[in-house]
Amino acid sequence: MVILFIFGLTFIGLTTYAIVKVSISCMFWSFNDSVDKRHVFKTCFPYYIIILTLICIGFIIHFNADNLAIYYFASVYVTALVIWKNQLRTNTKTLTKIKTVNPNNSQLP
Amino acid sequence: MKKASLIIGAIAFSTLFYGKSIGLNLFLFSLLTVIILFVSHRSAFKNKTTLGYSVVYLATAAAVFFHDALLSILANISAFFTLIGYLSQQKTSIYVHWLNGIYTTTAGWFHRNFSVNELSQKVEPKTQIDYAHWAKLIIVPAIILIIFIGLYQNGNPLFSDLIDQIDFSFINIQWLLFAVLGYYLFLNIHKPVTVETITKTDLNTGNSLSKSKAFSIPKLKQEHQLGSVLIALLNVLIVIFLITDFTFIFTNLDLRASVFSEQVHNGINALIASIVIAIIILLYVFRGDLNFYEGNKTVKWLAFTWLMLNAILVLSISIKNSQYIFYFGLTYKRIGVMVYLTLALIGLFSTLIKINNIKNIWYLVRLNTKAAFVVLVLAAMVNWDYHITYFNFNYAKSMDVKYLIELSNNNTMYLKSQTGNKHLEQISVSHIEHKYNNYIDELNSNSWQELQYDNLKINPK
Repeated sequence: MVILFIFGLTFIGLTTYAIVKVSISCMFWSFNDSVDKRHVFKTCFPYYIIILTLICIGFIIHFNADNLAIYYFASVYVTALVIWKNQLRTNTKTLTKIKTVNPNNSQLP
Repeated sequence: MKKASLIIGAIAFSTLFYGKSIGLNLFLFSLLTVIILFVSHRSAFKNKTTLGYSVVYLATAAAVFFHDALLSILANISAFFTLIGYLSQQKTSIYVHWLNGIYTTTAGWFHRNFSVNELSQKVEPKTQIDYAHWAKLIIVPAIILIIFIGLYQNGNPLFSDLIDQIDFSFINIQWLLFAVLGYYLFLNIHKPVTVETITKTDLNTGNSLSKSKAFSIPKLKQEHQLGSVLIALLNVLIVIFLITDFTFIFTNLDLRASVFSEQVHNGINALIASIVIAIIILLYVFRGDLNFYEGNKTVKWLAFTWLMLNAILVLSISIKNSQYIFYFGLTYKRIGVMVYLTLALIGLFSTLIKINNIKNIWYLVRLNTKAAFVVLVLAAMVNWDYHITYFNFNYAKSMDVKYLIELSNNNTMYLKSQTGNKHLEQISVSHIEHKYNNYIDELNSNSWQELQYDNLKINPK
């Protein structure tokens, strides 16, 4: 029974993570590779997070503010923020690498 | 100071709302929000508009205390978003204030952590927190401490008794989580942020139209002819409709409910279609260079006449609705019709200004959303359930008592005062008594956070 519970919990967690991850990745895929991720953040993140919050609140109200629903949808919201943060952090690292130019590079003007 | 105010705010948030229904707590929360915003934006509060929005926000919260209605709560939420959005960027339209307010409330802190300084082109994450180190710092000593407490407990009965006496049952995890939510909320709103794309677009979009490069007089002449013929024909049509409509109103003063109902509803449907189409047609006709064409006086006057005739149509519908209310009582739907008519009049008037002052469509959207906000706030100030009941008992020629009993508790006290009314049937009186007793029980069980104005009425001391 406990194993089944843990399996069910893991399955729900992984599915939720996958859905949120894909929904965020779709935003980045929809832009050209050359587009800076910060631009994607500026353009898409506000609308994404507003819509996600409204959906979460809507479901919480639908389930009569049941504790389980509150915990689940709060975790969906936090997961989305963490995924966005990771996406942007990888971009920051890439940016730092790009911006670190060797001063002795003879090809520079 | 800011951090302290956020922590106090979080504790207050949990104390006010955890496991409580809405009442005095919403007013106290609104007051707290305004104080926290004032602490963070002292200079912004020197601005009269900021003060105005703060007063509106507090007034809607007070309205919730006086009559706990859904409309007041909605108005309070929209006033909250308006105030936050206004603090984030003062020069944008009201709908952008709402969007910025919602965005700040949902993810202001996250946005600030990843905001980009355009000048230095640097992503500005705040100082990196070493979570792994913090986890080690807390979890490892805690585990070792627990192991040692277990060991010492077996070694010393006095120590064991001391440990057994420690009771952490007073700690409510859910209360703490609620406080965390409060902290997150205040952390988000204390420094409002903007949705950059839409804010920039809105700031760059003016209210006035300008002459295009393809300004051609022969083309405009044709457009002017088409517009004049179309609007003139629509004027003739609406005049005929209005004549028949007013004839009907003044010759059939006493009507059956079904006829009146059909008339009002048909009228409203016609009005919705007529006004929406009128505005769309006028926006199309006056979309561009026709505004700058010197010979456009005829089409302008025809448009003004059509708008005035539409306003008369609004008047005729409001007369019908008023008669309906007088004969069959006030209801929410009938009030809704009146609200719609008010908004329609504002829409027509703003279209008139748009044409006269050569404004663009954004001017209309801005003005009308502002008007809708004002109407919402004003409507939220009224205790509708009480006024519906009062009107129906004192002025309406007939009324549906069952409908009045099914309204919210805001009319309970008045209904109770009417139980001696001769026109009430015994069954209605017993339903009112039942509603009153339930309401009194509910009021008596209210905690201080859930207090309502009616609590003061039943317990004046």
